[in-house]
Amino acid sequence: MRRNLGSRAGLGAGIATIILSFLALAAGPAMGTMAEPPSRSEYVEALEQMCKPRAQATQRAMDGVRQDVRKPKRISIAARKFDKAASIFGGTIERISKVSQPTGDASKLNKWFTYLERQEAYLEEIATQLHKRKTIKAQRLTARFIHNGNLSNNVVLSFGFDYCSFKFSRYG
Amino acid sequence: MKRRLNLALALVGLLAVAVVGQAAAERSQKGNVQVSLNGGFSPRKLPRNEKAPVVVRLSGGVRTADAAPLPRVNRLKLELGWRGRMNTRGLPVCPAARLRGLASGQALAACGPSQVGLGNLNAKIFLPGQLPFDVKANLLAFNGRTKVGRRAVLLHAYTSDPPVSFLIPFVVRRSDGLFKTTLVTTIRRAVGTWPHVARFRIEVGRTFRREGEEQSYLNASCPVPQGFTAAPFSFARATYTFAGGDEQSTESVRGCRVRKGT
Repeated sequence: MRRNLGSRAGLGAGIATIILSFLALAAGPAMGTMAEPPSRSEYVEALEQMCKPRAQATQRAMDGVRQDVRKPKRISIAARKFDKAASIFGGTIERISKVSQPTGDASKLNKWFTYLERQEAYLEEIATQLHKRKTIKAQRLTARFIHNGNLSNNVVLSFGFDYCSFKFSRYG
Repeated sequence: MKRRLNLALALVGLLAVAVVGQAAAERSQKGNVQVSLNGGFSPRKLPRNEKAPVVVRLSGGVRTADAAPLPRVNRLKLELGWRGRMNTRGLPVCPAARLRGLASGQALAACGPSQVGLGNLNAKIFLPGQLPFDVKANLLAFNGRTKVGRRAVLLHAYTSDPPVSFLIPFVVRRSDGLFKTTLVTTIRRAVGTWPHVARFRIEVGRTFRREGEEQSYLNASCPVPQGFTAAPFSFARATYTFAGGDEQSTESVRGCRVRKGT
């Protein structure tokens, strides 16, 4: 009887251990997502690591675009370069938007992401207009693209971004 | 009727100036230090292929986001991306030695024919054992040469309170890439370690006569492709090097428009 009780108690303890281990395993990832939000400097570091290769890829993709738009025959090549830049830009926004944000910066970052999405839209629209050979429209959109880029930089000025900030010289 | 038209044109002109004037300074920040650069050129409407006289304005500065003491700028590099040309042939050269220790008026009297610009400079002076104080200096820019004969823009700064003058020589270099003209100065060497530059504003450009023909110190075109009427371009970049070696730069983008019929 004692042995039985003992074995039952042992069995109970075993089941409890298994359940606790399972709960711990299940809770693991959940606890991971509920981890403390990053500090601003950790956030900037994480984003810069993502932005750096993409900013460099944008620079490579846009290389020579100024010369391309000079020759009517090469406008379509310039348009494809803008397409490529828009695609890289869109991919970057998607990746960096998944990074958890520092507390207290949510409203600034929301505003920043709104500007970034607008930047992507401008790049796409410039490409579309160049494909249609509507150079004056592309020219106007470029002016808005630059203005919007400067506004986006101002929103996150205190973050001290480098590769994640807008720099016109990266676009050809 | 004509008077009304003139008034309307004047108002349009004022509005245009206001819109251009609103171009905000581009800024960047590292840690608590913010640097800025603003500027532009006039006229904004330029010939597509030929170069025309222009005047370039540049202003910039350093501030701290948390009101901490200003870091000392040791070196300042100004790069101009505009498709411009600096024309000094026939323009008198002012030797640096002639400007040393002079007030603004005396500097003008000594090197007036070499003057190419003017502006002002604000700095904070950090003297050992004293509270830092602000100074505002008048700037005069002169066409000059370095000791090895390179082209230079000599900035003569004079502050009346306390009465001090110093010379900041900017060496002019041509370079490849987006920014073709570079002006570099080592501020620490020119003015010592006490002044911490807070902000500056300078306007450069003048016309002069050579062999009876009118020349311009700065000339630029608006080389946009056929089919376009305007284009943005990387106008200038300022790189500030601080005591300790940290560098921070900011870039300014501006646009030009093609003058009709060119």
